[in-house]
Amino acid sequence: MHLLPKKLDHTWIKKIGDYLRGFFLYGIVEGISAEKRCLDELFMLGLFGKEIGFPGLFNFYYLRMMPYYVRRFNPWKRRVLREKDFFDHIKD
Amino acid sequence: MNSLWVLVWWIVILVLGYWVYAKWVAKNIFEINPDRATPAKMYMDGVDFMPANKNVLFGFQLNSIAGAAPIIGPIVALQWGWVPALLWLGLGVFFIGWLHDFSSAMVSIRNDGDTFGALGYKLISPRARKILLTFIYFYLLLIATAFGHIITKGVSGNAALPFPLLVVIAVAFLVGHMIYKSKVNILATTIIAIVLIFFSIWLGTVWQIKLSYDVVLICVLIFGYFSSILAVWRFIQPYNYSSVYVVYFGIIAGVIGIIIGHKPMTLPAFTSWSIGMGPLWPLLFVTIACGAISGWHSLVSSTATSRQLENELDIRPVTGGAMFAEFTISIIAVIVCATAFADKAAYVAKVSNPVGIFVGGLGGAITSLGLPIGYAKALAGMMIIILALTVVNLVFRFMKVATAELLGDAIGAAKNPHVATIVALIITYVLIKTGTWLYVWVLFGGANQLMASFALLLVTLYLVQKSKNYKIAIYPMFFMYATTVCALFYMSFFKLIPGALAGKKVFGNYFAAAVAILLIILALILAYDGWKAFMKYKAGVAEAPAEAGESAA
Repeated sequence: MHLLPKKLDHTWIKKIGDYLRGFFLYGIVEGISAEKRCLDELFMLGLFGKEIGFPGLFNFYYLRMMPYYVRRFNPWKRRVLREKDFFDHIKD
Repeated sequence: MNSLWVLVWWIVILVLGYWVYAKWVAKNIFEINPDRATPAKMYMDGVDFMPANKNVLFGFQLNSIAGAAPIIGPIVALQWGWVPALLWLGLGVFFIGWLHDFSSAMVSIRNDGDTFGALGYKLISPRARKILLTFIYFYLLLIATAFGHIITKGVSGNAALPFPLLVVIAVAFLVGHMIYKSKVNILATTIIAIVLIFFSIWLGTVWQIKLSYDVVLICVLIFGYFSSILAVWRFIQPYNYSSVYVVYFGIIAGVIGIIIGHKPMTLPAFTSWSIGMGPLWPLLFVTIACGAISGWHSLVSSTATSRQLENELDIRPVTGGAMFAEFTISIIAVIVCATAFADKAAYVAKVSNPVGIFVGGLGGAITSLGLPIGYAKALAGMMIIILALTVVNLVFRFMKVATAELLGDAIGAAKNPHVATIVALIITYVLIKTGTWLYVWVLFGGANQLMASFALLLVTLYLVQKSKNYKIAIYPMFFMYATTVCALFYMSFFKLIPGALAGKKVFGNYFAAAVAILLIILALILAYDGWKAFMKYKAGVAEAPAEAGESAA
């Protein structure tokens, strides 16, 4: 998300642009990322849910996709199992 | 004295505080290490843990911490005179404010991005988390009451505001739908939102709607209900995004207006050590919370920012820088109000409606730019109401979550978002209707500053545990703790309870006193646990665990 044309990308103008981006847009970007993550986690649950007791609905596709998604397994597990605090629930 | 001289004080604090003292503390006490991996890098998940550029984060941090409080606090505190207000703002931010924000983020970063609940559990005691959560619930109640009244009084007292406010709320829904559902270009969405909002402010000056206090209060509570229930992307985020342009415009216009107008400070520099509200110490120090120091910031620093900083070198510019920027907003508030009113008695008579005072002050400053007085005043009114609503739209959501966390296991209904929100709304309504706003504001400031002293307690314990020089944190912590507990004690036993015994607002005063006493008890328990933890770390009983990121560095 670039607010400034490239030719204006001088250091101090870039800094101001970044600041404005943070001030005005960062919350929206976070919101979009959070929505995307909800879908991603549902997808991961569909893929790896079998390992934690969810019925495997798409075994054929699960096997085909596993090599591509297995590297995401650890970060997903860490994120899902991380102890949630009061402040983590506010965005829910 | 000309108001421009105040800017000299601002520059001195800024230069010495940010570039000298803060730099020294970061380097010598916390031993900032740019090679140490931050939680954002170690646990990157694209949302909560996400490394971001420091300039982006600075804007985000400022947006998150700057609400209406840095403006309203100084407005109320001007009753003691503008010199005490400026002194506390400057010295508070210099010795405590920036350090509090910075060190909260620092401790969280060095503990895997843990939030305050987890840090309290780890550093103070297992029960600290529950105590902190209970404390936060009542702290939020005071925020909701204080800001709920400000909005209600401001909107019911200014017929130019209801219409543009309705438009701002409608625009928020529109913006949310355009961005998240219809995927409309953000630039086009922004232009539409800005045009609609600024046009509606003008239309509001023409088409005035007079609403009673009770009607506005119900509307504010309905607003709070939907903020709490709807998804963040559906209302809160688009509201904050689309309305912040008015605030930004107001601040810039105010600064330019101050410089062009360079009016003399007309309110008295100092009035008395003790005024109708109470003595200067401790009350001034809790009346001005944000702008000097605010516990809210530690929650933001330790929850969001600490998980997004990509380098320890960025902590000072992001957290400390944002705190000094908020200090700047408070300085502007002091100048616009102290230059707009010549008569102290008229000022004090209006102080229960800070929106009215701010409208008079900032509206006058904006007219220096050539805008008509009616439009300038409506713009200033919208600015402060929008800021207050950004607080309200988060508070009920927080209260809903806190209710579920506190009572969810014992009472199943507490987990229901509608029930938890409605309970929070009813309690707030009762306190607004029955309480005395000025006292509730002081209690809110006290709770806010007490939260800051808890943050400084955590920082002190962290520094002791790591055998670092903890004196820079423990003295501010003692000062804030003593000041806030004394302020809460004073309000309870010298204002609220005597007021109730004299038959004035009996229920509201007893209710507020009960909240204040509960906060004091929670603070004492936490102080006891903190003292035990301090002695334990001091004696070296506890083995200091390896800091997050050390092995990765």
